[in-house]
Amino acid sequence: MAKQEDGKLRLFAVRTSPHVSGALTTPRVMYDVLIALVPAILAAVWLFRGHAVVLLVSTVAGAVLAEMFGNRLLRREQSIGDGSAILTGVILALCLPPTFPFYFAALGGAVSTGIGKMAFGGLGYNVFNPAMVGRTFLTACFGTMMTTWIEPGTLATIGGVEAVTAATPLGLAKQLLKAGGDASLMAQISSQMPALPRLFLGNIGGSLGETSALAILLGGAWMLWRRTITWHIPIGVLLGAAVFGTIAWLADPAGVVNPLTHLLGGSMIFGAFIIATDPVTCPLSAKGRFWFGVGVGLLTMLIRIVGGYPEGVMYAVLLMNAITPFLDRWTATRPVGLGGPSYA
Amino acid sequence: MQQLKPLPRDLTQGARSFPGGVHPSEHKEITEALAIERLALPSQIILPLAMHAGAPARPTVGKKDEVARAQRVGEASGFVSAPVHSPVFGTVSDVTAVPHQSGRMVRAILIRTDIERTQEAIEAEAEQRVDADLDLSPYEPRKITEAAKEGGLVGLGGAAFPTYIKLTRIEKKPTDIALLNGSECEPYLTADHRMMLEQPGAILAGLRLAMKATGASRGAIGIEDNKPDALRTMRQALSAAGVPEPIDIVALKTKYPQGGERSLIPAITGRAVPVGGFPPDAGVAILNVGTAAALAYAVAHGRPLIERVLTLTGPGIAQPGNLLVPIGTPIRHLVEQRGGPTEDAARVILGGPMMGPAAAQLDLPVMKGMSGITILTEAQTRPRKEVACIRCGRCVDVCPSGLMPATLARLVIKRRIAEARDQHLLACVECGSCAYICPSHIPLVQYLRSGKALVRALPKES
Repeated sequence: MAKQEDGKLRLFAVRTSPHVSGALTTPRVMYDVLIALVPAILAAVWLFRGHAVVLLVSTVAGAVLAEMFGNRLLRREQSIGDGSAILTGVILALCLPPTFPFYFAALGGAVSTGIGKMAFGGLGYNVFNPAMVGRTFLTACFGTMMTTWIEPGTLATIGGVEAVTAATPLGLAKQLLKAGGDASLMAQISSQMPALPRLFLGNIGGSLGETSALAILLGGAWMLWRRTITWHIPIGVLLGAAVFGTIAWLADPAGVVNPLTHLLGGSMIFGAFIIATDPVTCPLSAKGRFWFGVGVGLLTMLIRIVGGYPEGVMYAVLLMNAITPFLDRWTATRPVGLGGPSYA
Repeated sequence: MQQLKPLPRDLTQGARSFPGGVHPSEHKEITEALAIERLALPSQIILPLAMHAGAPARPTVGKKDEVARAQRVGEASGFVSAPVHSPVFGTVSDVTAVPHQSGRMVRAILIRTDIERTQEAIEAEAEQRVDADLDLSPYEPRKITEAAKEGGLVGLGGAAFPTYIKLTRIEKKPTDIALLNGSECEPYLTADHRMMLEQPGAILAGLRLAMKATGASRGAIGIEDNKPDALRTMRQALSAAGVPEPIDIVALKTKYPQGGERSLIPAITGRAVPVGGFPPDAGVAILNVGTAAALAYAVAHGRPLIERVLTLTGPGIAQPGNLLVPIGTPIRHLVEQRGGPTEDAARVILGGPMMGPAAAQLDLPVMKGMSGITILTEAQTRPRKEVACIRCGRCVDVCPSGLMPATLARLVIKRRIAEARDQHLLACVECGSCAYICPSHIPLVQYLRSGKALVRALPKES
C-alpha cells in the first residue's frame, strides 16, 4: 500500500451518507418565528407604549429563568440558546392585556416553560403549547385582570391618569349574543363595534400583540416565505372558523356578528399563524396539520358562539394539542406505490 | 394481466417532477464544463469479482496468465450476476483478497498492465463510434440482451444491477416505455452530464436498443433542468437522426432525488413503482444514460464494460475532472495524478455526497457502479450535534417515498421493529433527504437503514 511521506497510511473518517446537510437548525427555526413577531411587537409598543415593553421583558425573563432552573434540576446542558424559551415568553406577552401586572406576567412566563415544557422533558417533548399553558394558568388565577382591556393610545400617561377601559370586539359580540333579542340593547352594542378596517389595523381594545391583524399577517408572510411554517395550519384555522362563523351568522344575523369580525377580532389571526403553528405540539404530516388547523378554527368558534367565553383560541389549541397523537395516526402519509402502480 | 395507467401523451411541456425532495447545493460548476479525458494508465489493475448486485463472478484466469484487453477474466455465477473483463493487456499477478470500500476483504484479480500494448489498443478503438440512427435490423431482442449479458453490463448509476435482466421481456409484465435516467441529481457529479454532451448518439442508440429488447413502444430520456445544454444537445441529436421510434427528451425539475428510479418513473409516466415491486411492475424499463451508451457499444462493437466515466471532484482535489477510466483503476492513481488529496481533505466519498459510501483509504479500485469520487474537506463535514426532534414535519414533507421518517426513526430507536415494518419502513429508498433537511440534525436515514436490516431479520409473520 502506498504510504504518505512520513510512512503512515493516510486514513479518512468513514461516516454513513448523507455527507452534507441543509443549513436549517432548530434555533434558526425559533429565531425565524421571533423575526416574524417583530411587526406585532412594534405594533404592540406603538399602541400600548411602555406597558408592552414591561410585559415583554417580564414574560421572557420568567420563561428563561424557569427553563434555566429546569435544566439545572434535570442536570441538562443549558438550552436558552435555542431561542425557544424567549419565543414562548414573547408569545405569552403578546397574549396578555396591556395593563396586566408585570410580576404575574413573569410568573406566567415561568409556568409556560417550567410546567408547560421542562416538566415534560424539555423542547420537543411537551404535549401542550407552552405559551398557552402559561396563559391558561393566568386566566385561571387572575381572571378579572386577564379580561380588563383598555383603549389603545390612552396610555401616554402611564401611572398618572387612568387609562380608558374599553370592550373588545369579541366582548361586544358576546354581549350581543346574551342580549337575547332586546332590539334596543342590541342596536346599542352593535354601534360600539369597531369597523372592519380598524380591526384589521389593530387600533382596538385587546391583547398586546393580537390586535393588529396586519402586523401578524406580515410576520405570517415572512414565515411562509422562509418555509418556517406551511400554509396548512393557518388556512385550516381560518377556514374552520369561517365556515362555522358563516353558518352561525346566516342562522342568526342579528345575534351573531359577521364572520369577518370573528376572524379579525380577538386572537384568531395570531392563533392561526403564531400559536397553532408551534411544530412540537401539532401533527407531523401536512394533512394532519391542516385538520389540526380546522379543528382549532371550529373549536374556537364553538367556544365563542356557543360556549361561555368571548375568546376561545387558547382552549381550542390546547384541546387540539391533546388529540395530536390521534391525528398523527389518522393522517399518516401513504407510501408512494402502495396498492399498485396506477397510484402516483 | 394488470391494467396500467395510460402514459401521458405529451411529455415535453414544462418540467416534470415528483412530490417531496430537497435542494442541496449543486457544486456542479466545478466540473460541468470540463470535457471527458483519459489519464495515464495505471501500472496495476484491481478487478473485484463482486462489482455488481448479485453473486460474485468466478475467476477464469490464474496467476501468471497473460490477459488481453476486453478478455473475460471472470464468469457470471448465477442469474443475478455478471462477468468481469480485463480493461488492459497484461499479466495476472494474483487472485487474492483486497480491501473493499465496505471495510471487508473481497476477492479480486490483480493485473500488471502492459501499458504500451493497452495504449495502442485504446488508440485503435478511438475510431469506433455509434450513431443515433444505428440500423437495428441485425439485432434481434435476444441478441441485444445477450450482448449486455456477455459484456458484463451493469447499471452505471450506482446500483450496478445486471443490465441484461432489465432488458429481458417478462411475459406477464409488458413494458410500454423505456426510460433513460439523465437526471444526475447527486450534488457534484457531472459524468452523465458530460456523456450527454459528448455521446448523445450512443445514448440514443442505446435507448433504441433497450426499446427493441424490451418491446417498449415509447422511449424517454429524463434530464434535470439544471442541464439546459444537455437537454438541447439531446434534442438536437434526436431530431437530426430522425429515428423512427417515438422518443421524448423530458425536462425534469432539479430536485434531489429526481434520479432515483422511484422518483423518475412517477415523474415521467405518472405511475408509481409498487412498494416491494420493481420498474417492470409499472411497465417500465429504466437505464442510466451511461449504461445506454455502454449497451450501444456492446451491441455494435462487442465492447464489454471495461471503462467508465466518473467525476473526480470536490474541494479536496486540486484538479477535478470528468475522467474516462479503466474499471479496476486504483483510486489512489486517479487522485494523485490530479493533485490530491489536499491537506484539508477529510472525507472520500465513492459517488455523490447524498448517497455515496465513504472510503477510509485510497487503495480501492474503481468499480462498475462508481459514478464519481467526491472529496470533501474538514470544514464541510464537521459533525453536528443531534438535538431533540421538534416535530417540524420537514422529513415527512421531503420524503419521496411518502413515509414519516421521524415516526419510523422513533420506532426503530425503541426497537418496535414490527410496528416499523407495518408502517412500510421497507419502502424507504435511503435517499437521505430526511437527514439532510432535519433542523435537529437527527441521523434519520441512518436509523431507518439500520431499522430495515432489523425488519429483514424479523421472523416471518411475527
